[in-house]
Amino acid sequence: MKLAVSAKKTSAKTKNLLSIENLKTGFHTPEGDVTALRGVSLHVNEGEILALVGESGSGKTITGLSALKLLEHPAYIESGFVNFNGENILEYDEQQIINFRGCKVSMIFQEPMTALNPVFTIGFQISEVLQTHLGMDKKESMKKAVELLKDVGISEPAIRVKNYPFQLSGGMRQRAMIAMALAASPKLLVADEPTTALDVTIQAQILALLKNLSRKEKMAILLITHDLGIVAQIADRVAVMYGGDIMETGPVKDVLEKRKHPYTRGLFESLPSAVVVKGKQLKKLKPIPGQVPSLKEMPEGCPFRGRCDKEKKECAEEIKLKTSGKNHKYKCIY
Amino acid sequence: MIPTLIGIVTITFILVKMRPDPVSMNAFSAEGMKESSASEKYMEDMRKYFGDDKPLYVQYFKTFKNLLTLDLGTSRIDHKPVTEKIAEALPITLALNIITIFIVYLISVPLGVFSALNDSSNWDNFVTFILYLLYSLPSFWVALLLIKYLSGGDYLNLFPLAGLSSVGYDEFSLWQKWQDLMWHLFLPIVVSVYGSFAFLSRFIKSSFMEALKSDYIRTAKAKGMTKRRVVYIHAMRNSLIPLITLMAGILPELFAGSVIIESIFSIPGMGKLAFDSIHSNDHAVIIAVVSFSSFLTLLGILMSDIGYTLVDPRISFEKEEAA
Repeated sequence: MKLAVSAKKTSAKTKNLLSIENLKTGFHTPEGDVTALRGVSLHVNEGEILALVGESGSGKTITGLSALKLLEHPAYIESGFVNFNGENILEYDEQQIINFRGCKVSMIFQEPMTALNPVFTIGFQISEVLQTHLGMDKKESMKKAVELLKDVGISEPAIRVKNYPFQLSGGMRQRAMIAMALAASPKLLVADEPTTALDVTIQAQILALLKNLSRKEKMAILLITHDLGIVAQIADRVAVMYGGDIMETGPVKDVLEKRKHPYTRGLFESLPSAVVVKGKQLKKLKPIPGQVPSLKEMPEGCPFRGRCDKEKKECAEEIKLKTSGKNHKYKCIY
Repeated sequence: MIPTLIGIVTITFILVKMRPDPVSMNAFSAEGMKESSASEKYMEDMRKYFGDDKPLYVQYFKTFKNLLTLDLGTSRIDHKPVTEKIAEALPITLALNIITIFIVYLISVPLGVFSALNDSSNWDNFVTFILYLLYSLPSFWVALLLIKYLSGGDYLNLFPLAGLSSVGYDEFSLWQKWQDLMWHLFLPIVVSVYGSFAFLSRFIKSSFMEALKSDYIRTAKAKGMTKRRVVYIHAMRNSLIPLITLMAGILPELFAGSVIIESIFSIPGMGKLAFDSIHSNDHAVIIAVVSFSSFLTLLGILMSDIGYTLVDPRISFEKEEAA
């Protein structure tokens, strides 16, 4: 209850930081173009944590990459807007996008091992961000890199700054990635499955770190994950994605409790921890039948058709966005 | 490295000793007959002189002793010390190969990077086509064509037919000597260089493209690094690593190649020395040439390993020793 009140207070003051509108993207393939995102709309407010949830192949990562205009051949953007502070970054030229990336918006990735360049020291990789975006010189930026490493909870930062990625553990590497992403104090951090490659205890630490940094620096986070447990832990709002479209979106509490969309329900029922947390008797896991269809075979209308147990004729038509409560929206005929 | 060298010398020794007795062969060809008692006596003397009368194991250990003391015996053909022959031939082959490697890398690396950055463009296809065309031309054929059309005067007389120096070389000034040498080396270098472009530049292209596709390149872009910095700092260093091992792989190929090229252009280097000594069954020279070439190749591999540690922090010799 207390949480809900404080959330309301901040939402009154906050404004849209990132807003993606009707974004359609696709891939060029040898067999012709396929659609990946089918008109995604979402927004991230200043300082909030939005969790983007969905199965593999639902288009989460593509959505995240497009927030930095990082989609590259064979991916392409068909239509839509990606607005940051009111400016459409898709129209940015080369120089503008360089000033934008790493400075206004940063991104961290799933595999901290491969995401760091193996042949440069951690310090080098952090300091080049500082040199590029804040115009620091070499000495200054190295000093700042040590501070940044300290801020993300790396012990002996003065030594670690001279280490190569292979000399650090998985958790430390992800911390170093975070330090690098935060070097130029961005307003938004896109975190693409930041804890998936880490073991559970480290996961919790990294999540706590992200949440703290978000509060401290007033930095918004677009957290891409498939783990509903993480969503419940740190997110303010959640967007459930399936088949290249947002199925349900709203404050975490509303979405997790009401579960308007059958896909959201399916996600919950296939989650072992959620069954236990509810305090009821252990139920048998109920996986969602079938598989995410390939991009080519995505059905018209609701993409969840064919796997949904409540399918009707109307599902084949375009589904309108429905509202339940203040900010809770979902795309389903029910 | 040392066991490898011992193995190479042993195999060479066995192969050499498996051939017919050189003294009788050389004597036979020299005198036209084998039966006369004078030549019998002569052959006995020669065997004694070259140590062929001793048991094989004695000869075998003597070979090692010779290699270690760098006293390699004398040639059966011109009775010159082998050490001297090698000292004359080695610098020539080394110069030829070092210039070749330098030119191959100088041209292949930019070509490979260019092709990687413009993958499947018309320019890339054009470059690929030309390189494969060159790659498929056998070097001995190209060498003969070049000699026929560019030197000797049948068509053009731009380059010398053979050899390393013009008449009167000794009286030239230093600059003239250098010019003369380059003039003589031009065609041999062209022949040894052109076929290696395709292999090396394709290799660099694929290694560069792989680096460009990797996650850390995406990270560098997400950090707002400029395109140039992403390509020439972040991708370059990673794709340089395989290049260094490749250098070690190219060395033996070049040594083998110099046998053909030096023979065609009559360049008195290691390749020609090897070729001639095998023809005339000159044991001491064969063993010396093979051992030296393989020693240099192994040295090249060692150097590339050391080069590895300079560019790739994940590999370190100190670490291995400590562990």
